[in-house]
Amino acid sequence: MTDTMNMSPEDRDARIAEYVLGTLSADERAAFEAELRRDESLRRTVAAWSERLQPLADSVPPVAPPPALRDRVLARIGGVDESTARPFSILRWLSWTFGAAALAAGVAVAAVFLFTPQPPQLGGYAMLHQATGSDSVIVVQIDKERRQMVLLAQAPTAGAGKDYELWVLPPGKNPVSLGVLKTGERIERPIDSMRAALLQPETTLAVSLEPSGGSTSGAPTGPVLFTGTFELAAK
Amino acid sequence: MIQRFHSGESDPLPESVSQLESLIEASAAGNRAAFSALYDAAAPQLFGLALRILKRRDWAEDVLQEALISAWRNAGEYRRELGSGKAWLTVILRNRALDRLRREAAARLEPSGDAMPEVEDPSPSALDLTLSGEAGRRLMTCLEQLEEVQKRAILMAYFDGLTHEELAARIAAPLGTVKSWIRRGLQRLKGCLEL
Repeated sequence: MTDTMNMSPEDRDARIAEYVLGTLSADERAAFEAELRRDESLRRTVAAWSERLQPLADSVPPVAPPPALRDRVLARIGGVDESTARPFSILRWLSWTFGAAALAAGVAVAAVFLFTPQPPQLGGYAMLHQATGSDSVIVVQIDKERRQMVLLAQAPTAGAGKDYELWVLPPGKNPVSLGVLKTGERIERPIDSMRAALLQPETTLAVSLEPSGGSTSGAPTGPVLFTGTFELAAK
Repeated sequence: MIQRFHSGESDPLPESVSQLESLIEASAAGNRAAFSALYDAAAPQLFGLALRILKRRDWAEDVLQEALISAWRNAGEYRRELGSGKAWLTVILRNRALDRLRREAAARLEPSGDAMPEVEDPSPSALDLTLSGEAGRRLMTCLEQLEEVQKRAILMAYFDGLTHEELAARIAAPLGTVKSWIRRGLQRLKGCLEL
């Protein structure tokens, strides 16, 4: 089998394109793939060709696979059991998305990009901190278009029989609950249009300590531990 | 009021976190919830492609399963700077599908051109192709500039997973001619896309 290193640049690029298109025989494919594992520039060219031809793949209508297949795949990778899922870490999340360099640039800056919803003017985020200046942080992302919110709480647990509850504090009105959150876990849930409408730029959000399950009176009863303001996502 | 806030399987992830690239990277870090979101976001498109190439539901299911497990295991090799998450997943899926076709062809010990399940020829979707999005429209424009035989050979190769030899048998043209259609067609495509 001809190694592409011995080929002219034109032949080399043609071989790469044929590999991505898929016309090589089984033996030719195997030889090319062995080379691919050793050669990063080859991997780059393969990726460029894959990107060029990707619209062809996109043109095929999606078909829902059988639900049992999802179960089989997830079982093979070790299952997705909420109770055994790793606790969510905001720092790890940011590092997955941006790498160590962006982390050094600051969590808040990274969060503006991370939590930019589509379209940006329809959503935003808030980062809630403790007055004590601890490292704990609660991140609230709102996607108004999809009526979704995502809550990430990187904070000590609320303690036995206690829960953190998130509130929006509309100016001149009573606090409105956005629900209970759990530390170390990523929570997604719908937000109704009434609550979404309360989230305007500079609106204060707060987290109070409440009995397990949240305040039963509809108003915060425990101490306010975290506060922050809602910001529109940067474009 | 007791509320459960575990991420519900039925709730769509917001766009910013369902980005395939982020989900692949989170999968590389061992996050199974991210992988299950990746499955939901990508599996239907990949399954559609597997069915298109393999023409058999049982093979397509096997290949989709293998491809996704491979994506989980190899997520650490994904690099954003090399391209989109979608294209990365497509390569994995198509490679698995092509391996399957080659294996089945070899197992039959028949001339490989006859080993494919019978399909209409020419492939309808290959010739009535509509590519959407900006990249799709550009590729479409460039495909239209190829000679008809070049375009047809490239699309049949992509969507039916045919080797040079299988294509030659399918189109009833000499192998060398088919190879040169493909090769020149791909070269012109690249030149056109780089304009």
